[in-house]
Amino acid sequence: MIYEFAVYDMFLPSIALFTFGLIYRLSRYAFTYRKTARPEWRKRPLARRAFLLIDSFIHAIIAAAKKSRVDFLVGLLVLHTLGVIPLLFLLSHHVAWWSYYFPPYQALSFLAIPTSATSSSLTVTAPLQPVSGMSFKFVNTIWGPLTVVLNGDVLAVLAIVATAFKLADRVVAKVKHRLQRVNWGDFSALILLLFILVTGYMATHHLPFGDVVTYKNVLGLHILSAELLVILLPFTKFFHFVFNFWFGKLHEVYDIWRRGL
Amino acid sequence: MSVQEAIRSVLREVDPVRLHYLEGCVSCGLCGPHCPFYYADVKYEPVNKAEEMRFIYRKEMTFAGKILGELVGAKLPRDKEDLERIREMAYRCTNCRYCYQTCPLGIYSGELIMMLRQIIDRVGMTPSCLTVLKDVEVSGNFPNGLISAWNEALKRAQEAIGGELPLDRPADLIYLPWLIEAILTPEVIVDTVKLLDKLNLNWSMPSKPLAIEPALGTIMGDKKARKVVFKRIVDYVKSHKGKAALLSHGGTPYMDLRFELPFVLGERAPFKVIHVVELLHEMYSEGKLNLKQDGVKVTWHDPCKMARGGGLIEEPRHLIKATSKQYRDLPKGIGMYSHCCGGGTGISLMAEEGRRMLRELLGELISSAKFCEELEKDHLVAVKNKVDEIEESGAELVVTGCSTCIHTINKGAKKFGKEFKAVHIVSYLQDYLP
Repeated sequence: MIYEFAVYDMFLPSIALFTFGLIYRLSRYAFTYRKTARPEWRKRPLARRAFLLIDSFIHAIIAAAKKSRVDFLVGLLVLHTLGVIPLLFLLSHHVAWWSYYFPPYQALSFLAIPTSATSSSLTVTAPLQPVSGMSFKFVNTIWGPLTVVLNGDVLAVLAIVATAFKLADRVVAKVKHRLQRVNWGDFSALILLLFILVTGYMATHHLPFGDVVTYKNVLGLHILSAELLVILLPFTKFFHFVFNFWFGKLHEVYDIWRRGL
Repeated sequence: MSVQEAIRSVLREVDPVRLHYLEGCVSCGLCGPHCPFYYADVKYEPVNKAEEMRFIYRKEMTFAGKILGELVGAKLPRDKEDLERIREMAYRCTNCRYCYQTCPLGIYSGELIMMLRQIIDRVGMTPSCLTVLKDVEVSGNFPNGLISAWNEALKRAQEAIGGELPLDRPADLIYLPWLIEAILTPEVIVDTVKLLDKLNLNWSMPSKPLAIEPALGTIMGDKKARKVVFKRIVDYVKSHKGKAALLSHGGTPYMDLRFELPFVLGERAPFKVIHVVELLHEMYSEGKLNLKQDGVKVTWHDPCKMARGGGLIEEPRHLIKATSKQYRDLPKGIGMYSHCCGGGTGISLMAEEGRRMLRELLGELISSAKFCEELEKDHLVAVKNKVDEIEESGAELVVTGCSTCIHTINKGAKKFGKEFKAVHIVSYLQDYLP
């Protein structure tokens, strides 16, 4: 029931609502634009500018690694770099999902990550060809023996622990330090993310029970909560992933170029 | 102006970049440890200060905020207590731009904090010591106390070159010292004049001050005041046919006139704005400036507005390295990652030492507000971090290019018993010219 609702009823509405939200958010940027006189740029060599373009995307990471080691380790490295990003885009199940809706995505199938360490042998040695209407070797990846650690189980556990840590960190910031910047939106976003990660892990392992009905319900909850995230994405902090990170960094590049750093 | 009017007038200036600053934050808190005031109290982390502006923005400019209110972090200041909290947050920021450089999403919390200062100014709650100075600056009628400090600096400069100063003459290079330099670091004006005279350039300077520290309207969020002062400066340089305005103050005046002026006046100035470091570096690179070398243990402190805000990172280092084999960088970060001295964007003027100096010149106009006394404690925490870092470098001399930094670092060195001294680069180079 939940599964069918998530897969067949909510998919298109969630995409439509996401698109509406995206247009709404982006139009706010367009409507607040004003043309003004600009200062003269400081002249710098092209090589310097090229360096700054790359540096702009990494200097915040360097700064975090130096001064906020826990945040760097948990937030950036574990939650983002090892957890959510590879899971979302490279977990073999997700590669199949992306490829179904967007066939060119198959091009990334050689990077697909297996679901568990026990399936890692398939990625290098077994000449396994999935037999289905979309049979391509999405499990035959380049990761080789690395899949012993680079697999869905390990990454999901890391992402779950990191998300739980971030939640606890927010509680401490709110309760102990009474920081007003921590709000309901932080908690709800992290709880939703945690729910998606946990239900995804449970569905993969047919938890809590091995029967088909439970499996489909848990998987349905996983898909449904992911669709909820997609709907909420333009209206919440999750939007950083789609737009704010790129806009912010590119504006920063423009700003430091004109100042000639 | 009522609170509602003040808020709406400030929000009318939201553009795509400010919209990104308002909407894009994920509250990761990475900006915190890079803010000079964070070490006084965690609540002063940039994101937490900027959240005050986000509360207001959400309530006024988002559907969710209008409907759901505080549930989605949307609220307006309700009473004087709220406004006082906002003012406290707004004046625990030197606008040093370090939060911007360390934000993973390129969000400049300082810009939102400046929007808070605009609201505070429009409801008439800017600390009175700043308001008095700004009003004087806008009027252009400087009280006798300030004029005597200016005249004394010019007199010393004239004695130093042993001839008439080229005052109010048309010239390629118009040197623009500010009153604040005459008050805090008069030797910088004297040494810049000596340098310009020695280099035999076609230059002149105003006989009367054009501004206290242009523009004081910038640091307290009064855009009209800023525009009046900028226009006065542009008109002066234009009427004296200057091809470039030369500044020795590398704080807010440099960054503002160099990079913000077109946004304020709606057009580019018909002349360049350069810091004396740029002039000297260009001459040194072209072989027109020879420097002697010795072994003094020296370091360079990057003023935030010159480095992160102005792009002048390598130039001063080239010059100083040419004079000393014992140059060393500061250990905790340089250039884009340099630590603020804790005195910029009006903070040093409100701190005890700054107010005392101004009170001596302006008398009772400068009050001893409780707000400023509380600020002093937090300011000193920021200053101590800076002077500790300088001490760690082992430098005997810290060279910089901003009068506010010199004043703040020397004050900190004295307060915390450090051996080093801060000097302006034009003063430092006097001993290394042939």
